[in-house]
Parts: sequence; structure tokens; C-alpha cells
Amino acid sequence: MITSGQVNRRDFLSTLLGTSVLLILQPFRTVARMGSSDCPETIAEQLSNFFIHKQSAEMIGREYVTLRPNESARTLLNELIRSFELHRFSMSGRIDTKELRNFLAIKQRQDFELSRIVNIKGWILSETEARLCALAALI
Amino acid sequence: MFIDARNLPENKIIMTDVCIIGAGAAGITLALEFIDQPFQVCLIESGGLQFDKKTQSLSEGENIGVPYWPLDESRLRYFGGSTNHWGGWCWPLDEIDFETRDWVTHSGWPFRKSHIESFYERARIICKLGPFDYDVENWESEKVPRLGLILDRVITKIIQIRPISFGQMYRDNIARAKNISVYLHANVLEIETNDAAKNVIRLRIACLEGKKFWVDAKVFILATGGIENARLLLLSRKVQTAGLGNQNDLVGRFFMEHPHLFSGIFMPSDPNFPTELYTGFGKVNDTIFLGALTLSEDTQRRESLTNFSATLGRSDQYPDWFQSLRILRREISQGELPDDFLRHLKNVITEIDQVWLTAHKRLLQGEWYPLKYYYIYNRTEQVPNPDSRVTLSSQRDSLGQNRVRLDWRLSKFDKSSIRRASEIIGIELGRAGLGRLKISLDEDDTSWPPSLTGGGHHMGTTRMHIDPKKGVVNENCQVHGISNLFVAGSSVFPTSGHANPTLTIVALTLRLADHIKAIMT
Repeated sequence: MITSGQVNRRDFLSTLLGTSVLLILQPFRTVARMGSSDCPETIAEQLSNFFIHKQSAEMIGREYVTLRPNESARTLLNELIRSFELHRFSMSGRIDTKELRNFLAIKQRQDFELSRIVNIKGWILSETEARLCALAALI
Repeated sequence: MFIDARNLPENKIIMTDVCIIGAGAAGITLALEFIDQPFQVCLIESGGLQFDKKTQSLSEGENIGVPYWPLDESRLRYFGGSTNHWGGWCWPLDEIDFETRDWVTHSGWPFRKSHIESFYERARIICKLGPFDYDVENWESEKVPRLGLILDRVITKIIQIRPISFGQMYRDNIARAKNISVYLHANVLEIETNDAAKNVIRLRIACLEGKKFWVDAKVFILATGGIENARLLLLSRKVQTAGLGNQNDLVGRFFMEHPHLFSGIFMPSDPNFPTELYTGFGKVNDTIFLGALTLSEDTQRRESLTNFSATLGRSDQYPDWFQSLRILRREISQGELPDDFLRHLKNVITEIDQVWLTAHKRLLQGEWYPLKYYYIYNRTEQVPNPDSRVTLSSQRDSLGQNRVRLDWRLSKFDKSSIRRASEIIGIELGRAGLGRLKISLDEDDTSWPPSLTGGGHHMGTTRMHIDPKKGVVNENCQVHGISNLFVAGSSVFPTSGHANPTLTIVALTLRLADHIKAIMT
């Protein structure tokens, strides 16, 4: 439980566990519900619900927004939809959970390969996972 | 032969060929090498065969720089020296450590690593180690693999661990040697030279009880450790008033340690990933070993960083609700209510979603608290710094000698280099999908975390350089300008690398022993 402006270790660990493990498991259900007519706001809410400990994610997200104040919720959302290729998943009408799991893991690794990295309170994070947290904080 | 110097006649002059001052790793290695050589050897040791509080107090001193171990705790003063409390960690310096690096001021040895490879091979026998092999591929196994990093920016190296007391291990060999005499309880007060300070003539020595005597030799080798070597030269100021070998104000300067500190934590993506190579002590053919993450030489060059190593320490973190649940369960099962019952109950109830999630995961996926993470513990190279130094204190010891004053100083670059190295490790762990790293070092490069300490690795105070204006000893460990005075030990290291120094101390000492044998025969 976050009780102050500090991101404590346990919360951070919980959140990272959420982003790196549960994040990869939870979306299958989430994305499966997405239709081509889903509005971005709904997608945003669903993306921001990836986390098992949303308050921690929001805390990380707020730090990210402080680091990059130019990234609004809309910018973040568009970027995440583009980078996750969510439309591709939803348009096809068939959600391959294994493919999505692999895809998200690849996105995180690509971030590290391409130096799309952010340092939030010392944590070396992929931009994608930090943006997800930011989205959770902003919507 | 072992001789208690307290039983010698007053003012006796002992005549010998080679005199070694100090019976630690270097002094004992020299003595072993000189066994059965056609010259007489005298080994002078301040302490006895066992720890003695009064003798040990001679090592007390002042710390005025970066917080450091009390000086009488970071070294030992009896036969075997600091190997009597040594952890036995051994690995060689890297090739890059010997090079002149333009981003590391005052770096560069007079020779390359290849020059001392054969001495490392001999040193490992003295240190009772396994094969001279520190490449991880020859130590890892299917059950104990290295971290599967994708690029070779970060590599795994092996530390061999064999804590032996040189005093206990080699006491009998030395006692049996016909040409070696060990004088115990003998404290060298001064190294006396001729009027021109070109030759050492004799040592002035005293026992704590007051007895005085002299040792007259052809060759003298100072082997009293990285702090005491400098102290003894500075105390020997009858002819050279700034201290022996100190005509260029270098003796005692460039004191280096390996900064040891917790730099962060690593949380693996897979809690079951085997990290034993980095956290436990493996064993192959009786050799205990441990893996450490280091930066490749190429990375150090490209990023202009100092040498660096990190080992992992496992830690398990339990949340409050979990602790409370355990306490409640234990106490209630014994028919009692715990102290703070309501607090524990509140912890569980307010986090009931976590309790449920954890129970759910436990039942369905076999996962369980605690979250698994690892402390990152660094041992790193310090940039040589002339202002980091050993000088004489105005305080006196029980023999009337000036105590030592240590001003250990670290630079901004020392810290920023560790932080960047940690960042690179974090990136590589992320790239490989192995987990996430948190760096706990702040951005203020003038301050250091409370975990900062040293490893009892005292280096650099009589540094080696072919130019007398840049070093106290030459490439043969001979004090510049003094034909028969040599220095053994880590005080001659021009740079420190990140590796624990003992193996290199022994290797360099073997090299010096060969040089002395050539001179004497």
C-alpha cells in the first residue's frame, strides 16, 4: 500500500511483477473484449487495468509524467495502441494469447535494445512499461 | 628457525644477506621462495605466532577521510599478517588494468598482464587454488548457469575462494628451512641508510618490552602491507628528511581501496531462475567459486569507465500482511492472541485482496511469497588519486613512533562510474528479459551511501613507475634511488582493478623473489 509520495520497494516490486508477468497474462482477457468499435477511452481504461496493484502503477506513472511532461494521456494512449498493435489484434477477431504474450515481451526487450529506457527513481525500465504506468496515472 | 626477539642480547647486530620486513602474504611468499637458496634470510615480524592485543595496538591510527574501518581492524599484526582474517577471494587483474587509459588518470603499469601470467600460475599454487582459469564457461553447469545475457557488454567472471592463513599453512616449511631465521616480536623502527641515502645499511628494531637490536643485510625487502610500508618509509627520515624514497613527495599518496557498496537490487522476471552461481559458493574439484558480473574491457573503453564487479545477495521480502498472517496463525494455533492483535488483524483485512490473490496464485500456480530479489554488491576500481593518502599522525604508539593517518578520498568519477556500470547491467538484464534492476546510488557524486566501505585492500602508497617522479618504486619494485631496498605487496600497485589483491600480491612477490635470487646468486 502506498502511503506517501515515495515509491517503496515492495510496491514497486509488486507493480513490476504486474507489468512483467501479470501484465502479460491479464491482457488476453482484456484485449479479447475489444472490438473494432472500441473507443480509445475504453482501451485506455482497459490498458490501465493491467496492473494488479494499480496504485503503485500510478505512482510510477506520475514519476514518468514528471520526467516527460509533454506526454499527455492521449499521446500515451496513441503511442501504446500503435506500439502494441492493438488494432491488429482486435480487427482480426481472433486473439492469440500466446502471440500477444510474446509480442509484449518483445516490445519490452526492443525498448532495451533501442535504448528506449527510463530511469524512474533508480529503476531501469522499458519505455513501454513506464508509459503504461503513466496512462494509469493520467486517466 | 623461529626466534623470540625478546630473548636476544641488548643491541645485538644480526648479520644476514636478505632481510624481509613483515610476515604476511608477501613476506611469507618471499621466505618460501628463498628456502634452500645459497644466502641467509632474516624475516622480521612485529607480532608473535598468535594475536596479541598490545602488538595489534601498534596498528591503530587516525581516519580523517571517507569513513573507513578502524586501522587496527583492517589488518593484523602477527605471523601470517592479514591472511589470518582473509576471506580467501582470489582472481587476477584484467589486461586492461595494466594499460594506460586516458580516462583513468595516473593509470598504467610498467608491463602488461602477459608479463606476470606465469607468476599468477605459480601464485595459485601458493594460494592453494584450483586451475588458473577464471572464465565462466569452465565453471558453470546446467544446474548452475550464468545469467543468459545477450550482448557481451556485461560478462561473468569467476572468483576462486580459499581462505588460508599463510602463517598456519607455511609455518613448518619456514621453521625447517636452514637458511631462514624468523624473528618474532620485532618491530622495525627505522630503515637506516648511508649518508647519501643510496644504500640501506641496517634496520633499527625494538621489542615492545624495550629490547633493541639491529639487522644488517645486503638486501632489504619491505613487506608490511599497503599502509605500514608507507609509514615505515616516512618514519625513516634521518637522511632524507621527508622520508625514505620520498624525494618526490609520493610516499603514502595514491592510497586506493576497492569501494564496496550496495548499489541496488535486481528483481528477476522468473522467480525460479537459478542464480546460485552469483549467490552461493559452488564447488568444483574442491575449489570453491563464485560468479560476479563485470564489464567487458570493450565496454570499459567505449564508455570510459573504471573496472567493476557485482555479486548478488539474495533477499526475501515479506509484506506486512504476510507477516501478520503468520503471527496470527502461529499464536492462534497455540490458543493465544498475539500482542498487537488488532494491528495484525487490520494488516490482513486491509490487504485482503492481496491475501486472496496470493492464495489464489498459490493454489493454482504454485507461486508464493516472498517476492524474490537480490542485492547488488559492488567491488570496484578506484581511480588513483594523489590526495588520497597515508601520512604520519602526531599521535604516538607505545614505541614512540608516529601513528598513521589515513585520508581515504574518492572522486566524483569513482561514483559516476559505478552508477553508469550499474545502469549498463540493468539495461542488459532488461534486454535479456531477465528482470529489472534498481540503482540505489543517488545523482550527487560528492556523497556516498552509508553502505560504503573498503575490503581491507590497501593499495598504491608506494606505487610502481619507471619514472622516479611518478612512482616510489621502479618496475623491479626497487625504491628509486636506493639500490638495495625493495617493496613487496599491494602498495606498489599503480592501479587496483576490481579484483581482490592477494593473488596479484603473491604473483608480484614471486616475480620480485626471482629478481632477488638473480641478484644474490
